[in-house]
Amino acid sequence: MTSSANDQWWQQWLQNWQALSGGQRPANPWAAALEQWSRSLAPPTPTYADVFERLMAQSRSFMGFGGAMGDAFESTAAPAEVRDLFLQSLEKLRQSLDGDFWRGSAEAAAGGLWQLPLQSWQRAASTMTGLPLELLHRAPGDSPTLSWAQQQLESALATPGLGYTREFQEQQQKLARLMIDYQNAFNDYALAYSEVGKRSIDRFGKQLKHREGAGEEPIASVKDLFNLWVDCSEQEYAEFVMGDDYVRLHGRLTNALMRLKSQEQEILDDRLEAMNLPTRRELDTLSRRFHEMRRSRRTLERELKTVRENQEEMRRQFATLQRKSKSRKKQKSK
Amino acid sequence: MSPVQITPDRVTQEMLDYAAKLGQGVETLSRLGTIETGVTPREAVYEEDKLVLYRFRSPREAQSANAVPVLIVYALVNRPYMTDLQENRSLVRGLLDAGLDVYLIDWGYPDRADRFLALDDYINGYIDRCVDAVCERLGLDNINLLGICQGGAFSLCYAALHPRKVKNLITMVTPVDFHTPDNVLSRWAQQIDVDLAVDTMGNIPGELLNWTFLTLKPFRLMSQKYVDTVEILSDETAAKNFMRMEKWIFDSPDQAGEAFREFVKQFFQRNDLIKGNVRVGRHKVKLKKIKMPVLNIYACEDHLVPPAASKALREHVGTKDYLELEFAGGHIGIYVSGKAQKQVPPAIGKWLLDRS
Repeated sequence: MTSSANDQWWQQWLQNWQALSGGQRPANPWAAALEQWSRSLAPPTPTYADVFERLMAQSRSFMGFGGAMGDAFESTAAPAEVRDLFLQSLEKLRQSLDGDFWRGSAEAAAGGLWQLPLQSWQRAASTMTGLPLELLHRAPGDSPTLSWAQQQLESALATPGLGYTREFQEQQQKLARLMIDYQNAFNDYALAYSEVGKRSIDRFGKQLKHREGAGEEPIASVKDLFNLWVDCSEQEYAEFVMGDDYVRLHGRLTNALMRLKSQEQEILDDRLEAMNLPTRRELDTLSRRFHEMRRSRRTLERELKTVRENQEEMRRQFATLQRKSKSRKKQKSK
Repeated sequence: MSPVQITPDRVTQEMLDYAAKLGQGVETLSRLGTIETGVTPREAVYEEDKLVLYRFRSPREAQSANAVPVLIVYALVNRPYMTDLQENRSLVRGLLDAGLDVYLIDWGYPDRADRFLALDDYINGYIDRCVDAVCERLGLDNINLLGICQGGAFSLCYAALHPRKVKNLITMVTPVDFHTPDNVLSRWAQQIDVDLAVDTMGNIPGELLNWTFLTLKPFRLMSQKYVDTVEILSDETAAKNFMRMEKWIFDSPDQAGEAFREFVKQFFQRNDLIKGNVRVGRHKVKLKKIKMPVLNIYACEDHLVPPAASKALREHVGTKDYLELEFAGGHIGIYVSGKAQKQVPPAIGKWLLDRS
């Protein structure tokens, strides 16, 4: 490749990444059009609503990627030090994985992909608790100023329980502490994703450079570039999730959610008890006793079956003995 | 040569093509109607609680070449219609075509009333009564057992605890050694406080498990798959196939709490199955007691149950008649891929016929 062609490619590539990195990205006509179009559509049938939603979300993400590519290649800026600026553009892309990237738009090229596991966790976690988990999340790496929700919780914790409602207050304080624990666990989890997402960008850059050095066929479509980006993300992610750090983060997040849910249930049970309504604890006790009775019944049924089979066998043997005895008597009498 | 050569025209054309295909795909989806799964005719022959034991009828009304039927024990996670997804992707249909009489346990959807079901209830209870029901129906003393994934682990326990009732044992994509270095699920399970989770939730929500499975390969399974699918959605048959698979993936029953607790602690966290320490009720499971012939089928690209986790069975069973069958594909492809239809059921049919 000639020097000018090389520079031209790096220039295009740089502009592409600058566009992808968020800050300078122009409005994306492809993703915006898709967004507009999908809003005008009703899901094909209620049965397919979830699939339709997933299909549209990932199409928006892909078209966001493609649209940014188109914008970048149309740009005509000509940087002097293309490779240095390319590295800077990768840095900007890394920055798109800072803060609360997991809450960002699915159109963001890097965040769009890396926010998927976190948003999916959010949905699963939200179905398990009645608490507004969304409110608790502040961006990892944010300024030391705590979010409004956390400030409220911490001030509630600073007040000692007094008077007739002391137990109630202590229950609420424990709940608040567990909410903060969960919040911190989630933020650390998201922060780790952010770091690994950034490493996947490095891997992406290295793979492209390797292709260039190895003289491989150039990537000629947005889809192929998207696939390479997915491959790099999966490879980096696979290494990350097998490590001890991830195992600890995963356990901490799950256990924090369970402790929070447990306290929430305890408070709810106390309220139900006060209103003379059945509690979860009582239902579990009944359920356990009922289950034990069923097991005992099954055991008795099995034993009864064995006794009946033995009885039947003994009856058969007795009948055989009787027949033999009669036959012997007959022979004797002859 | 530069590694990327994408022109603005190319980007525009690609986005336009994608949008057009997506539009066609949405139109196709609007015409699909109800998606049917579980396509082979069947009859319920035994029911208990939420469990239904089905016997499949061969559409060709062929006489079974093998007098001893095969009972499929599927996992508790996800639904067993994966084994009979559609006419041309059906393990069940393949087994029928291979001359087998096929039965399958459908566990149903556990709810809070099932929260205290333990492994003992599933293995020494439900499975045992299903085996008895089939034996009684046909006047047999034993049958062939085919366990899939977690159902394979259950089948191993059952065969070890009730060896006289199992004539031949087939395990498919079954984890045996849960602590192989490449077992991601097992790694993730290590720091989970399972007691806290079960005591808190009662049953474990299917959605939580689904999240776990999807995050094994999140970018392929949550993003790339949908982008790829747009390419084929204009084809109604392909769209139906995709929707069937989507339906199955997100059809995740909750897990009965006690059974989940016992399974995760004993199998995933402590790796007790290969240590001979798994307790099912009052009994310990010793894999060495498995003396009947064993066919162990694993998938070499399985991301859920690594091949090494399955192949460990060879070292731990007591049988001398042990055979492995490697399938070149993944955990799902082993039931639904075209290659699997040609390879797996005929191999099972022949292996069983040789031992009938």
